[in-house]
Amino acid sequence: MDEWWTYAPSDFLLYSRASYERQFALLNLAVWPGQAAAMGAAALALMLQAMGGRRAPMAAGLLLAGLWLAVAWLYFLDRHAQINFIAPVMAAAFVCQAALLAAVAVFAPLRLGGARPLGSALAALALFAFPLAPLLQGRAFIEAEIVGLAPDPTAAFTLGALAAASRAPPVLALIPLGWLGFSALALWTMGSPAWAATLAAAIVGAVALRPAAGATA
Amino acid sequence: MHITLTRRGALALAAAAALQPFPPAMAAAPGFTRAIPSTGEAVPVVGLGSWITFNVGDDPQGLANVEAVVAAFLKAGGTMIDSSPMYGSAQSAIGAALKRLGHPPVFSADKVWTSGDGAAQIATSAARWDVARFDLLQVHNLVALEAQMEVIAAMKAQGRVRYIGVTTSEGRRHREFEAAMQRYPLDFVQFTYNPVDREAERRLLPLALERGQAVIVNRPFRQGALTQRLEGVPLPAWAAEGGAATWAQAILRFVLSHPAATCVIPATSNPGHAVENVAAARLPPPDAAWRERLSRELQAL
Repeated sequence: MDEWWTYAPSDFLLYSRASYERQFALLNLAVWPGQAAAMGAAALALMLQAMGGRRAPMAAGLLLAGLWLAVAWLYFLDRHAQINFIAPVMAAAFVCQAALLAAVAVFAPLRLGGARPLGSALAALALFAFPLAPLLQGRAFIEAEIVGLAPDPTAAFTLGALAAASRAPPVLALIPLGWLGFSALALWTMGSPAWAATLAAAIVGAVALRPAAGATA
Repeated sequence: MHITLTRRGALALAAAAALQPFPPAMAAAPGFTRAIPSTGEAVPVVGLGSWITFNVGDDPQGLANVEAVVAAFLKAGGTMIDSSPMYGSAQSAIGAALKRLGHPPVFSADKVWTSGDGAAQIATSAARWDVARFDLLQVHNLVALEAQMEVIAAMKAQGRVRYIGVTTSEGRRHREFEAAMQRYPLDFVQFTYNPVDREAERRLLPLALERGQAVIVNRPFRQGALTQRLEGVPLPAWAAEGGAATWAQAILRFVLSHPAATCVIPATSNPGHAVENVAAARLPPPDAAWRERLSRELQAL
């Protein structure tokens, strides 16, 4: 890329804010009433993560992996690819995250541990408050972004779930954090006020994931 | 009414341009159309770009809006529509609009943007536009210039495209672009020019006049940044002189007042703005003082 220093983020944005936001409306219309299943799966993952034994936390991790796979397929490949030719690369990143979550779920399932209210709060906000964002911005509710269907709330929810667990491998947070940072930049570039909440989710997630002083398994 | 620039006239103007950046005597003549130097064909001076604005995927609402913009643009008298494979789904949106509008006559300007099989990409683009052939094919941003120039030059020789050209934008790679203008028998060149991005006045615009190459101007509004910045700012009386009703029209008037400019291609997702933009083609050219004042005021923003 010649004269790379002359490029600004806006040079890489291929679509308008209106087109981007409409993608979620079209996604929601296409999968209706799948939103309930996606949110139900996410809520179930949190509950299973809190249960004892091995199977419940493993199921929680596999459910979480499933949410990332769903976003890769339903959003990036089926929707976003229509307006962004690098959507397949983004889908690949989400599939990678799904694979990491599945591997951890099978070999070292995460359990709810320690006092991690910040993580649980972030997960709950991602699940229940994120979808309300269009209403706060004066947009149609049909454009709501849902965990398990849209990338931003899925990444935020995952950070919350990881932070609520005891000793989550740091590698599991890399893609969610990276995605939220990238998305915040894209949203800011296209003039969407949602960039602030997206960036805040990344920061809260990073803070919540810090090892607590004197934390035990 | 249109102006036809002969080769002798172009050389005279270029010589004058070498003496000063913008000789007042060179101010472009008024006219809704200008002649493409290589053939004399008249083309309306305001066209329609499609970067970002037409990338709507399969959204029925978005596609309907694209159709409305294209319909309004064509009804207002515009003909040149410019796109590229780089613009996401814009080509398909244009094709869908033209199909629903009954394939009205347009001047189809597209680009080849690949280091790979340019011919295959062009064929895909034509299918998306639902056209048998393009009027103009341009090597986009100098990507694989030599190889793709060979492709489109061969297509022109075979009668499969009428015009060929090269594009760049945002003032990038002007030295390479100038070399391409010197080297290839281009019908069209496309680059950025507006009251705050005037780099092209130094070499590219005079060279286009000298070489008899039609100029398509992109980013007249800096992708909306200029017009958004001016939103809510009343158009002062001096800027409205000549009949401009909006800042957008004043900016287009500036661009079109350069005698080398053949067509400017603002993009919009607003049908009303498409009509307003085309209407700027009928504004009389300003004098040099007006041009400099507009440039000064906008650069101060």
